[in-house]
Amino acid sequence: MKEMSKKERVLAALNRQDVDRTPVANPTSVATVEMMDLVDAPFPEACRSAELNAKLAATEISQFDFDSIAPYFSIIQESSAIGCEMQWEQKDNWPTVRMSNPIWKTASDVKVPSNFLDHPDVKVITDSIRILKKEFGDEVPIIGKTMGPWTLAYHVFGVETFLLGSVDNPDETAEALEKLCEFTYLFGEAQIDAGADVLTVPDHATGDLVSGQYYQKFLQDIHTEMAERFSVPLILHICGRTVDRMPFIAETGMHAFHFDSKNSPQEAMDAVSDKIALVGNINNPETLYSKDTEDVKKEVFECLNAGVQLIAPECAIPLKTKAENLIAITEGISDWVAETQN
Amino acid sequence: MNVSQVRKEFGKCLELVSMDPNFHEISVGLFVKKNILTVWSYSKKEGIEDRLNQIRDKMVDFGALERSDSDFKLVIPEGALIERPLKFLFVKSVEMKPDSKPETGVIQAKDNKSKLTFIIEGSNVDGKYIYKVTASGEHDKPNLRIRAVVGGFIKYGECVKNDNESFIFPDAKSHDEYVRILLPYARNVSAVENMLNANEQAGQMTTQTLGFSQ
Repeated sequence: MKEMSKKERVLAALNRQDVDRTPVANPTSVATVEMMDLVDAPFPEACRSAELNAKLAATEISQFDFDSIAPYFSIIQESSAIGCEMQWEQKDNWPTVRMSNPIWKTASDVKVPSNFLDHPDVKVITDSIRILKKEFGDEVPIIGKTMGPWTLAYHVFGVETFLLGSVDNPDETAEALEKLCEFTYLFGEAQIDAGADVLTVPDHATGDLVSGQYYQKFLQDIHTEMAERFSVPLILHICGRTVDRMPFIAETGMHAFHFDSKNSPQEAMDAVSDKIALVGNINNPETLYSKDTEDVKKEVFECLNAGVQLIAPECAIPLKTKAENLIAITEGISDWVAETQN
Repeated sequence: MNVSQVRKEFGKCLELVSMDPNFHEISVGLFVKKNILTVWSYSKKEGIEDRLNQIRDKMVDFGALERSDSDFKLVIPEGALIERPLKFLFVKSVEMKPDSKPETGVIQAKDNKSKLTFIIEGSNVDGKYIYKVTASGEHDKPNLRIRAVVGGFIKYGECVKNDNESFIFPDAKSHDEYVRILLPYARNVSAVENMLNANEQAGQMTTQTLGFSQ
């Protein structure tokens, strides 16, 4: 098969078409402290300056030869623009929202600020995408990221309040989710306009917090509508054990699901019945963070043997991940190709 | 140098310190290839070479490793490539104040769970260098605390238990510098484990660290 460009490879894999080799395409983040030093773009500044953000994001190509670039590293840019209380942390820790001080109480409070897309913490991502598009042109796909309403709800209402509300007053929860989708669409469209080729939609209806039925009840229709409305392929990201909701996710029309290592590659492939591509699922906290390159390659092999369409860490990688373990992902694919071709 | 070159030239990264408190909060790694260790950072800050050599020199002074003629490099004496103590030595060498000097004399440390003071002495017995832990001070059952310290050396020094009061390094040789480095950790395993776990959690994006799991 003719060698594909990185963009051709990723888009074909997302469409479950033939590829010259399986791509490495991380939908979340591969920012590390080592790469921050290499390009002098440390956290939290790299989350707040478009130039630094783009420099750090580009290491995915320049250092690891991955097949895509994902410049939105964290999950808090929109929430900062909405007005949530932020904890920006330092170089070796993730910025977070102080959810113990939620800004809203009910669905009626949900309103999009008039200057939302001009807020510096939102603009940093769209500007970074423009920089990266200029640098990499049409060769490398840029994966944007726009938070789904479930994740935004945690941030603006607080986790406990929101989850309890979903039991006590599900209609109110549905209304809040519907209104919060406006942020998802606005920010997603702005990233597409800036040059994003693909969007990741993290929506943390995670396995350890809510059931598969909850996903079906509150989110499946919302995600189906997103898949129809957005003009680029979507990758849904949900952490944790999610095999119980994968059949529902597979029906949404989204192009891919980014899945966690708590689900084995084969059982995940079985669960989605070839109705959606899978991206994942190299373990972060143990394998990438503290094991050796051979352990990383072993997990890459497991994914490839199961037929996972795009290889990636299961989530945003630990900031202290050693660079050699990221290179091992690409090497693992090459080794697998060599082994299976023989 | 890029990532591939570093890997080819310096080998495997044994340990990574994410923020050097003594130099612009850069990350610093300890790499190993055969019997050569290299202290390296991807940072290009002015003065980085001096800082990396300074860390290298601390490892020599505190760990009895051999300084190489090349910048940032150390030679591991035969048998001294014991990963866990090397990692502790490296982290300590990065984090200690630059004017720190190694202790000399008796290897001892106060227990932080009792009024005991632990003393460790090594001696050659039938070709094996055995480290014996004793304690001075008041305690109802000092043997329990001594046994815990021996357990700490097994955990953090990759040592082998000789008996309830003594241990041996894997190569059965003398490693006084490692013993001196490890004793503060070995005397309080539970606190060290908490510290290591907290360190591991920082920088991980999980439902816990994001606050999504209560």
